[in-house]
Amino acid sequence: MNDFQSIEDELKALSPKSPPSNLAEKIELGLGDAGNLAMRRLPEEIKSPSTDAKSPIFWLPWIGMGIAATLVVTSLSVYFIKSGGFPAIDPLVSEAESTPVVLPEDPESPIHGVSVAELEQRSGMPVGGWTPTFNEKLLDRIDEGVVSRPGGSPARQVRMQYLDEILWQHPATQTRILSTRPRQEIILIDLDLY
Amino acid sequence: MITEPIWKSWFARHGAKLLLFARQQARNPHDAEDLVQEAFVRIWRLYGHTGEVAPGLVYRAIRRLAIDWARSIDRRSVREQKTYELSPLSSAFEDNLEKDERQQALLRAVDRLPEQQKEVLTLKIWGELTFDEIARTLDISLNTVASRYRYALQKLKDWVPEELDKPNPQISPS
Repeated sequence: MNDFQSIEDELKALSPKSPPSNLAEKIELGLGDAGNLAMRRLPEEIKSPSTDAKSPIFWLPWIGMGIAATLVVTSLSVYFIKSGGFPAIDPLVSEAESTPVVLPEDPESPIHGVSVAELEQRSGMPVGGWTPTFNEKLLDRIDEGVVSRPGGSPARQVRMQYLDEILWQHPATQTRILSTRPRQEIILIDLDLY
Repeated sequence: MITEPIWKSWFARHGAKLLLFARQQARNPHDAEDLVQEAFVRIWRLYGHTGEVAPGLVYRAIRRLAIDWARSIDRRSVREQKTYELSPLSSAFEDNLEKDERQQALLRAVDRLPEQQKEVLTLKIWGELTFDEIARTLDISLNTVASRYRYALQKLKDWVPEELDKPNPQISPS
């Protein structure tokens, strides 16, 4: 039995003070991208308060793309319901010519010249009232080793592969559309010669 | 799926212990925080992508940086200006109101230990490093680590009763 067991136990019972919260903030700033290379999954209830949700501005381009995707899907539905085949697109366009164009669209778009109301009526799917849910999946993280920056300083190159998902849900019609897009980021982490 | 950088949970687990060690190396709380920040960022940038970093690496980086900084004239002059901030190691522990008389005596005894023994004690007890890791962190032999640790514990064992007999400095005389 260790002669000093009791004194060791007494010492272990004393807890050092926790670091001030601003120290973690300074470390986060100092780490930059290097801090986000290794991530762990968190249950919803223990999410750290310092883990910021992405700003709504971040998703604005996605909302625009989502609306465009919805319109495309809706128009394709109209197209297949109405004409049943590719050549039958002409009647759709000719009918659209009689109605005023509401949205400024690409002339080559399949929904060019078709009003929102008409799309809704023909597809049976509403254009408005969709709620997007965003999800970013980290698929892979590849450490590509140490590279030289143009100035000659060393940096670690890491390739991050993501899959961005947007699930569009329409509660009234119980309709869901899943849009996915692969994305790749290359991060260079400056290394100190130490 | 909610994710969080691994370093945050790592730092939550080890931050207080690192800061305690840095307090011994820096002798002033502000420099100690800077040491922890600098050492952690350097080591995590090198090895953090693996998802796990051995705490011994950060302790060693803290010590080496402290030596570098101590050699720097600027740092030394700053430290000299801040001598009023010097505080004993016991002040780096949780100020628990329920801390009993014996614990207070123990902390006072820790403050009396020679710096080299205090260093080993800190890494072993609160840093939870092995003797081998401590030897590599402090660049000393395994035998030296073991003997410093043993001397420290022996002194604490002898000094705590002495400290208990002394009047409590926290109770002011009426």
